[in-house]
Amino acid sequence: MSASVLHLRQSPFVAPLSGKDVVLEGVSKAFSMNGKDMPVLRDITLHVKAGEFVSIVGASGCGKSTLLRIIAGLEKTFDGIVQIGGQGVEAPTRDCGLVFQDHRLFPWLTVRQNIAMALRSNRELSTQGKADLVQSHIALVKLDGFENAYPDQLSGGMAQRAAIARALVTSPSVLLLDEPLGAVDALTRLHLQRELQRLWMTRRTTMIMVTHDIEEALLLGDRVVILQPRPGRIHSVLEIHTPRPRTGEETTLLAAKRRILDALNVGNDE
Amino acid sequence: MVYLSSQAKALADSTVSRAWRAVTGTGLLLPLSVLLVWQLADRHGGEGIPNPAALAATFLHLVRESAFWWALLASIRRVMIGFACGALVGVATGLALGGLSWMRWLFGPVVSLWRYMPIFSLIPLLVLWLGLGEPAKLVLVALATSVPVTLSTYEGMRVIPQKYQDVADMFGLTFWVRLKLLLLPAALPFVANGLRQGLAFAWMATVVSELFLSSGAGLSELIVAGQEQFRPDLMLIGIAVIAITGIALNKALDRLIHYAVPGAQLSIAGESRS
Repeated sequence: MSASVLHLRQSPFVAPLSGKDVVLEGVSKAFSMNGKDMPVLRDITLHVKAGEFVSIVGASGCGKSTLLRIIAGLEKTFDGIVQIGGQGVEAPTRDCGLVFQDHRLFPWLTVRQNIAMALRSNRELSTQGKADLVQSHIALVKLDGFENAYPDQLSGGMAQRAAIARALVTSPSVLLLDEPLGAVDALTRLHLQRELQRLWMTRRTTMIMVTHDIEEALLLGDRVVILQPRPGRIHSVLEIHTPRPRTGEETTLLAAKRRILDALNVGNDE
Repeated sequence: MVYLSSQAKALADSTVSRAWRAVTGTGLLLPLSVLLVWQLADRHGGEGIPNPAALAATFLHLVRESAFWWALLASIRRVMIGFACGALVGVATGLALGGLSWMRWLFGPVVSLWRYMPIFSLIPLLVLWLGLGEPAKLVLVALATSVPVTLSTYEGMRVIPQKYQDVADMFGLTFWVRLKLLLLPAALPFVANGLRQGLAFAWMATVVSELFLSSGAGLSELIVAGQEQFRPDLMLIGIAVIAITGIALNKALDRLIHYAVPGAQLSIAGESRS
């Protein structure tokens, strides 16, 4: 762990960054289906502090992904207020990165080209500056040697690491993670969870992660938001004070897991 | 002695079986049988229907004439110029339709009707405007090419998965960058398909244009000459040469596409269909 942090500090191109705060105020969203309005999210109010890691857990169909898409600016019609760093969100901005459950690398671009794509609309950086930034982020997610590989030549975990590098290379103040490890195998998942913890500890980017893995939520989150389904609404919020780096074996985390399981069961009984 | 004969037998066996496999493996079994039965049924050559041996003789006579090769060259030149122009216009139109919402709004409703427009019904109009010469033929070939290419390219742009569009949105890609990094590569397998269809249409249009606008050299000369001289052998050879040239053009295009489009770029085709 300490070795990899050192490695990051030595890299001149990965500047330590600070995140921005995210404010959700009474956010509601409904999809119309067969002419009827289907409520997906109801009255979500959440204040995420700058540099905080918030995990959101909940059963399928409680609008977790939709919530992230709203914060990212991909969903443009919703009720309520969404602000990043005090600015209302109307469209995707460079302030905000999004990692999807599937890696969504373009299959016809190499790892390097996929990550470089994120910098295409950046006009301040020189070509060399962009190339250095891309290379340092490839190193950051430990994909050195795979720069010229195509996505279908990578394992699921490697592709997801490339996707994380692509989201981070723009130095977003807020990183949204939509079940980022949902599609990788159990062992890789454990490994990447620790990688994410390392990334967050180094960069202090504000991170909001949606997951249905409670242990993952506890390992990474300063707070765990528990959503209730149909329509998605906040059931409760749990603060996790366990010091980092966490291993996931801490008794405080195990106790918290019990509480979340209870909470989710209560949610199901309603 | 015994040893030698068994070896010879094995050699003969392997030659026969190899020839048999060459015939069955390449799909030549049926055509060859038909030719054989045809030849056996009509050894002396009838009035209206020449037998394969007579056709072969006609063909061997033809290939010794330079006019035949000039006709072949003229037809190939015609289809290649017409196809190139039509493909260029088709890809551009398809991309514009797929990438620009106002183009889609304007032309979208009529685009799907193009497929059903009988392109050869335009011949009299083309003759009226452009005469009987080369320009009218080239325009017809280009038009015939552009329809399937346009439709297929447009289709390719429409089925680009939303998940990739989301990524492009997240990184704020401009129209041109999006075209280069997402729309074009994603549509490429569809464009390739459209080009294959377009070439088949182009070759058809080449032959039809030569038949209707019979001025200048071209393979259809064989058919027209055969008709005028009551020589079905010429017509049949003409048809066969046209068919084989079409197949050769198609193979050449496949080769070109194979080299121009790396395998990784084609991988999305399976993905978007699933």
